[in-house]
Amino acid sequence: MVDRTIKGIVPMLSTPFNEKGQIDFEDLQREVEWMISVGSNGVGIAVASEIYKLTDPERDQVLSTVVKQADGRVPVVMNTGAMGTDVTIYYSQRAEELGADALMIRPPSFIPMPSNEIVEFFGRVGTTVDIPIFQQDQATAQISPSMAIEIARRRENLCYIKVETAPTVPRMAETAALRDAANDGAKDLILFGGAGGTFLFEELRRGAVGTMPGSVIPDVFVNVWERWNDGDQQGAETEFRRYGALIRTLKQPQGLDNWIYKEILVRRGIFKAAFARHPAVKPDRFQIYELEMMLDELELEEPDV
Amino acid sequence: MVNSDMRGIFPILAIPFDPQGNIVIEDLQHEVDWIAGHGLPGVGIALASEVYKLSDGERGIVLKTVVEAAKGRLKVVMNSGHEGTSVSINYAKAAQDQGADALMIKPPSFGQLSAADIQAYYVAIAESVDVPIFMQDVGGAPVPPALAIQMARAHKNLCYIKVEVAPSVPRIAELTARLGRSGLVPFGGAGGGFLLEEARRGSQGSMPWSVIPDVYARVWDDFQAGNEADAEAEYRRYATLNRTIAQGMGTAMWINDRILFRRGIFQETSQPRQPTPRPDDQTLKELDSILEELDLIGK
Repeated sequence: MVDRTIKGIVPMLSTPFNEKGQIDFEDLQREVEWMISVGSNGVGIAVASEIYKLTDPERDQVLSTVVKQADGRVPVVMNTGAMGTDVTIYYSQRAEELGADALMIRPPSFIPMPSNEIVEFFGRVGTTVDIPIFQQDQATAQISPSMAIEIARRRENLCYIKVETAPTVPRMAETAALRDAANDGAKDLILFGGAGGTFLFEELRRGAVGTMPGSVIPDVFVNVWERWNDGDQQGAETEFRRYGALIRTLKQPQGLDNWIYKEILVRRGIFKAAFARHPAVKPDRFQIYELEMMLDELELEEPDV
Repeated sequence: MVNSDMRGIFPILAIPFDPQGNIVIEDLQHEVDWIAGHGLPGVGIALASEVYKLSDGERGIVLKTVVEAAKGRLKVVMNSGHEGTSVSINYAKAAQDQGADALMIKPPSFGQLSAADIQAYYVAIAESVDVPIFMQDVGGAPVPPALAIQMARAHKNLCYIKVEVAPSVPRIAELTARLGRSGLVPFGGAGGGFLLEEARRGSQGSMPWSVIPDVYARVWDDFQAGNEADAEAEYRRYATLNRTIAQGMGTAMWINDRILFRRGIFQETSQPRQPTPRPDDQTLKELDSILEELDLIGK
């Protein structure tokens, strides 16, 4: 039986590196522990984790560390997408062996492929593992709503999608409508939001059952998610809006986002050092000043880990 | 003398259309008058105005309407770019004749061009007009900092750049560090998402949406007066609204028209021109709740 129960707030971990670019496993353990202690519903190792800058042995080490620390308390999602089907299968089977509870896979994008090839890609990968797979729909590697439905039909473990192609709000609604109209395996497709959680509530209202934000304010995401589920929709939204400027700051591409995540994790006492692997655009001194100004205003609680 | 003194907030106008796709001139006049009333220095007619969906005749009508409604209170920047150099020159001359105070032009992007080709395109246009030109640096048609400075040195009319390639914040910092004596004046754009971060790094103004000119006037004045903390705290209140607008150029037009209706500037039927993906009713409800919280309804 494929696990279809993943929902809620599943933060994507930042990978802690020291100034030499080496992984700090102790910080990684602390990060995972913090995610779980505030009530996150899972954790992920993916694009926000700079997974594409890890060697193959490092991928294994990071995943094993996270799986061991999570210790079955929450599911661990591992991104195993690669540019070729065989490599994706290799990564996927390896992740399953090492204890990942689910996979997330972005379509090959280096050479753009027609949609039937992408559907076939997911079909082939899906048959090689038993754990569920999140299809990752992302601007530079899109999975249209109709493709997502076709992929979900191929095998029962292709049952999640994370929708990240902007604008995500109408895309979520369209995917949900196609899913609801299906009368076969595709009717079980489970929708997640991503893209930093920027449109969390708009997406939930349109059929998403969770989101995968960064790992810097898991406490805030869990709090508003729980308030929302307790029926306090307005309170949850008003509270979430307070973080609009911070979330916007986290969404600056080209590695600037990775640096900023880590500067926050240092200030919240989770990481010892802030360092994003090269190449990445580094924040200037103003950015740190601006960040601290925002964090001061938000008065975030000190983590207890 | 080319006017290189433009600074501050130049909102890009939303162009109101009726359900049949005709321009609603009266709403457009109202919008311009409203912005001028808040004391801003200028307005733009550009991508957010759906300028790329206008016929040549309509471009002239819109520009003329805006120039007249501005009554000398606002500088008017007209986006006059086209994929072909000679057409772009014609658009530029026409805009100048119709009263535009400046032009805004992004590099042709349909075909792949070298830096030298892009420079030749801009210089040819710059030589054919007297008004200054904002070079527009956007995701699909970037003008990298080094090229921008080289072009500013190549022609005195090429004295402004609007930086919109993400992440815009380090890009403006890089540009500012290289300005030297080029005379190039950096502006921010991209919906004003990083307005104050950009200003701190040397942008001299921005071209945001047209829906909260009152907020921009307040925040920009505060920032220029040295009240950074107040400006930032005030501007952060609008982050959720800005996020809601910035959902792609199609959704943004609908949302902006709706906000302008809610604020009493546009008629309820005013809308973008087709094709534009229309947000669902739920989105409009969500927008109303944000506007209510910000106390922007009817004012």
